[in-house]
Amino acid sequence: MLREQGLAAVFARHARHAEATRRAVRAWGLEILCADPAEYSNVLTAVVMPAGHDADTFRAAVLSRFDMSLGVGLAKLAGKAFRIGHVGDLNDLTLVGTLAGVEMGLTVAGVPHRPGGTQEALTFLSGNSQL
Amino acid sequence: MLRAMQPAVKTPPVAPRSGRHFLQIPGPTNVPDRILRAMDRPTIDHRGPEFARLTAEIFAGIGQVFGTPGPVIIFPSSGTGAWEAAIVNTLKPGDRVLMFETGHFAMLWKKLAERFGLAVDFVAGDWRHGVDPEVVESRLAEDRRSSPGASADGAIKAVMVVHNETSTGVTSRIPLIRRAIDRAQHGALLMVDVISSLASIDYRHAEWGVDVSVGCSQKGLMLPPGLGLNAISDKALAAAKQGGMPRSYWDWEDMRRNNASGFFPYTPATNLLY
Ligand SMILES: Cc1ncc(COP(=O)(O)O)c(C=O)c1O
Repeated sequence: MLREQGLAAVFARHARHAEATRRAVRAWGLEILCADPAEYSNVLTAVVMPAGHDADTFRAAVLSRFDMSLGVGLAKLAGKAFRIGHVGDLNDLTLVGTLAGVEMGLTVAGVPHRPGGTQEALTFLSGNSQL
Repeated sequence: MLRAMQPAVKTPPVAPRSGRHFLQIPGPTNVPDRILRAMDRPTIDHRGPEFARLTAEIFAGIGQVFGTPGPVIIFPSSGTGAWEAAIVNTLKPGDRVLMFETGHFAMLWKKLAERFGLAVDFVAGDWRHGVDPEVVESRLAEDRRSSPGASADGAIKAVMVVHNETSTGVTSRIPLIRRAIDRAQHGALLMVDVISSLASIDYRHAEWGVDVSVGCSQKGLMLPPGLGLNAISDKALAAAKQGGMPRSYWDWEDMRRNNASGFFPYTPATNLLY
């Protein structure tokens, strides 16, 4: 399958989905853990939880309400961050569904954020054709 | 089957679900239906001709994924096994290596290295940045200055970095690290964990002068967990021929000898190779 798609196209697809995800996170007013844009990962985005809110409570809410698994904060990031995976067999609509699940989960779990991150991603994805 | 044989344990009831579960963790990743269907076939004889044809195809294609014309070893293992293989084939207890605290997986690889008696120079990090190429250069230059004989081999035998730190979402820039090693004119091996970047983020084992790339099946390759991979340079092969540690299951040489005719020294993860 990788050969059919061509590796370069796969890399470009992940780069595009990662960019859409980061735009959503910023629009929510949340912080991306990676401090240097030159080192952003195209495979996953780790999101810093606002102080006073537990990432695992939020993840549990997303799992029970929307049947979606998000990455746990590991070791010293436990409870402090969650990770959105955007790797593997993924297309625009799966990514949009993922971001919608995160946005609804933030609301359900009472995590302060600005609405509209998913819309940011929609705008970006529809304005940038599939590579 | 195992579950069916166990006595019933009480677990909380799971609410009925409709639609597909969203598995949006950074690996294991969603496996395409096509691959699931391909695996859902009877296991074949791993010493028979059909299997040899299958592996010939796999070994012809897997190098492209790493960007190397050289050998790639496929272990039935998780990524951690492939970490271990990289170490026991090329290094010996007491060898000094340079590693960087980019996050949780870098810490785990370091712990593994220490269990094999490696002396790890561990550069502290804040889990928000990747490997700083300038630190690579200065540490290696310092190593050469302080090593007697001033040959290209200082005391540091390997630089070991995680390409995509899955715990933080930070990707280190391997070409810059390669250039830093070259600027220091240091002969250390470069070993890179590409477990969560392989087939997802641009990576070029040969062009970037990497000696061992450590990968696995359950992320960018979109397979279930169960395959650990090592792409190997000539320099790493030579290091393995001359030394390394006592090893058996992880031995590259056994694998290469058997792989040459399309087989494995022991039972491979047959259905993951379909
Ligand atoms: C960068 C990295 N290295 C190593 C590992 C360990 O691999 P495994 O869990 O397959 O042993 C992982 C697993 O997530 C990883 O992401």
